[in-house]
Amino acid sequence: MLAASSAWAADYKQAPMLDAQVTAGTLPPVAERLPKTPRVIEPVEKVGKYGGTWRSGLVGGSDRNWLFRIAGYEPLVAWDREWSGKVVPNLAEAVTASEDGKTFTVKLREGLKWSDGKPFTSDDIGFFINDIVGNKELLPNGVDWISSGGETGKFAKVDDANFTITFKEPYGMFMQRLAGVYGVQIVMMAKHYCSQFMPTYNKDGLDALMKEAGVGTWTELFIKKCAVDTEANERWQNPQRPTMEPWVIKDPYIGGASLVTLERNPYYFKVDPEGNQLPYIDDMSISVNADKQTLVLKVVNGEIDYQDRHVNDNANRAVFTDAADKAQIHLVDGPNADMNTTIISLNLTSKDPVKREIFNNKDFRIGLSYAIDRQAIIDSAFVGQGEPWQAAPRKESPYYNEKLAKQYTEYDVAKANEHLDKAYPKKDSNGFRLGPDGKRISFNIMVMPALGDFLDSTQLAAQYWQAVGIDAKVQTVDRTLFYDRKDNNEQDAAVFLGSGGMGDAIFEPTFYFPFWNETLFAVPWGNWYASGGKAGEEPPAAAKKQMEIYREITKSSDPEKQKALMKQLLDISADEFYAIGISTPGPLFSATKNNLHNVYPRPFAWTYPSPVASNTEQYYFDPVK
Amino acid sequence: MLGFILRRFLWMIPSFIAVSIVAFTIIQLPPGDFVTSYAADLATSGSPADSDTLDALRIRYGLDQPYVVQYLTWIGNALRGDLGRSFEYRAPVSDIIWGRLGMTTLVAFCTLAFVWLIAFPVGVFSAVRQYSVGDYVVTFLSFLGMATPSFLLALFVMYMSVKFLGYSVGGLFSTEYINAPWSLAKVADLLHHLWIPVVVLGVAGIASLVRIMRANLLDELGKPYVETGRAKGLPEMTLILRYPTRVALNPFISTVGWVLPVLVSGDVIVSSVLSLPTSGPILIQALKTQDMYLGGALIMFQCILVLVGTLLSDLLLAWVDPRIRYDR
Repeated sequence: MLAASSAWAADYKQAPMLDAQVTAGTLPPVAERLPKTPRVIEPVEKVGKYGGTWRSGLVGGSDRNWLFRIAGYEPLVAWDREWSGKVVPNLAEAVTASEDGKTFTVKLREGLKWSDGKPFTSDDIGFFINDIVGNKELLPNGVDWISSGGETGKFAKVDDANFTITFKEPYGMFMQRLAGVYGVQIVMMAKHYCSQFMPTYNKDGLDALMKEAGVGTWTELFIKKCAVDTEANERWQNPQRPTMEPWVIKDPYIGGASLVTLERNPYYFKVDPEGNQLPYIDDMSISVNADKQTLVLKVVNGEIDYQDRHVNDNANRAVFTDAADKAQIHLVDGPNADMNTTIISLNLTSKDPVKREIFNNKDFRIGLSYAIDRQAIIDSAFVGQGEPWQAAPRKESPYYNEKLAKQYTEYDVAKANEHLDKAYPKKDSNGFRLGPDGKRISFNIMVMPALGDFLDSTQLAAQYWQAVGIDAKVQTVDRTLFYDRKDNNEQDAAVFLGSGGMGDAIFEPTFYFPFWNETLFAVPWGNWYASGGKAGEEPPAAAKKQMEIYREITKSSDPEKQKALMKQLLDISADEFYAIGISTPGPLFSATKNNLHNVYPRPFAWTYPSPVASNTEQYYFDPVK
Repeated sequence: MLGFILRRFLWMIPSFIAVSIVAFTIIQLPPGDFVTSYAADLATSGSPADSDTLDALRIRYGLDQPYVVQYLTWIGNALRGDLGRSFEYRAPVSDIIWGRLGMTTLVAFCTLAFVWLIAFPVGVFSAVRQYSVGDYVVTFLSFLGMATPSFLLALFVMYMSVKFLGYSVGGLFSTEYINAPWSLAKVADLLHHLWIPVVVLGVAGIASLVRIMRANLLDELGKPYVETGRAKGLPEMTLILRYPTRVALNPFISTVGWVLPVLVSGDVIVSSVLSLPTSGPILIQALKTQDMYLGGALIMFQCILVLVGTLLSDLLLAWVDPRIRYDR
């Protein structure tokens, strides 16, 4: 294997734009820039051509995650393109877990280099774990995904390419965490560059650097220059910061910028099967728009080469199809990893004891669920896309649970009334049901229209509920008010879309049990779990059992065992029937220029940052513009 | 006269303080704070932050402090030239707004010039030829112009320029010039794009100013001094332009003060639609995300513009109209 690859090395090819620099001697030859065993990327369609500029667009001043989603995902180990749940070697050549699931041994590719040409070694990882995560001034709360049993993993260097990380308790999901979006964080710190912004390494020079940057503390300076979080704006603001990504920032995404550009990283560590160094595309030109509609018009005008974020509402499908010829685009469908368009969560922990009693009556919730004509909602609010669904993983998910997904989803007014009569049979003169206090059952459903398409569907659901004698009203609120109320547990009911529909169900069990403060059906129970019992409110036995199971899942490193445990957990969710879902979202699409190739119809998710996790570095233009 | 100017200046100080308090209060009014909307943002991208992290953010940004403390810190720093940091852009507010204010001023003045150049002669024409066919046409067009929402017009013009002129969408520059250094070619590119916002922003202004001009001039045309001039044999054009038109200009000048901030703030929606690199879109964004230092700074700038504009129009008025000058 090793012999094969070094014999191959002589044949490495590079983008023509780099030829002049190599000839001039300002850049080493391609074989010296690549590691000993570069990662070989199998192209989606075929081996590509070099050149071209990828044009896309951002909306507003904080849209950094689109940059992340097209150019910012180079973890130690990565998801496979199909997102089958497998992780594949990326910057690391191999990662092996010990028997007890506590120690992970990582072997990096030999000869990896940062975008400034300096070597990428074990020391960079050690720097991240010891100096960044371990620094109470910089990160008072530590970093959650790299700790187990409440303690950060211990780093031990073997040599420049080998190291181990040891956890206090078994951490079965560590590999998936490394491949997930936050795992990228571990390879973001070039020690040779970032250490100059820390008092430990540069006590004397720090004041001058702080003054130059116009900041008051070293932590601000460090964040500004080296961007601690995966999602930080700062990742895209400092062209000097070395990275391992296919393109590096050139015109930064700073306040007031109206165009952000990135250019090829000449030290990028991946090649195609013919030994061509990736990426194929030379650079990126990304406009900053004030408004989504401007971006839509840009797509229609043929000014965008690839875009999904902000433009892939189903409403735009027809617009883009009409413009396809003129703009030279086509739509690439990919499954949406979200499991639900609309999850209506009655507040099981309501501060009002009467509402609390009503909402916790399972017959009441079942009745409400039967009362909704989901197919009619799908037809009118979601242009016929999707199927009736509860808050449950999708069919494509390894955790699919039919009972949880389909129970009580048929439209059956008789059954609805039967369950509601079991719960609250008395009605007032207007036909509305009376609660245990003898007053009309009436509640507000809080919706924030700014963050999703769930206003229409919620309004329709509320009409169906009115029809069976429940006085439910939709209340639209601004998102800050929504969060304010939710965090203070002041809402009757709240609506959100459902994430965690595919393999990510295991990381985002938000609606499967009270997991954290985004679990809208019981925020205080979620807080209780997330804080380890220090905050919030103690949940009932069933939820506590689920929490116990989930702790087991995070410890286990055996996918089969995880799956079995997850089934147990979801079975309890089905019995408890916490929240009411409406339908699965239809497929999402990207608008893709006809001459852009190797685009994979990847799932749309966050944990699998699409499209970058399907290898955007092998996108190419044919013909090249 | 000097005393008048001095007094006007002194009055600006308490006005400024009042205005800054109002500006700060406005952005503090909605429930929650920047961190709440930041959390909402994270949640939709599928990565909600836990409450510990959010509390830490609040402390870092000083959002846990009482309102008065936050205000005093803000205004104290602002007076020393430090406008604070934008939470959303994670950059000093001054970095963000200076470039934008420059562009805003450019668009505003071009629009103002365009509005006046058209509204003034058309208004005179419409008054002098009252009830002629031309007057009816102008009147009809001005009502149409006033009634058309400018954001709709912006969408329409943008769509047309894409459909028929093959322009790139939005902004004041073609992509290749956005980050390029200033050059003749860049200026040409700017002019090439500038007419869209200028026309869109100008239309409503032209329409209303034409009406004002027409009404004022009609008032003056019947007055005895016009008749006297005419009787003495002054040529009609000279007569109208030299005397009644000058008097009719009064309302133009006394509203200069309002025109400044209206052009700066009134373009918020249009600028958002057209993706102009002006201050409007970032103000709207700052208010939506409760990015209070950025929003506060922008609102305060607009208030200052009102104060300066009012002063300016008072001075101009005194200069143009002797009746005001000799008042006190």
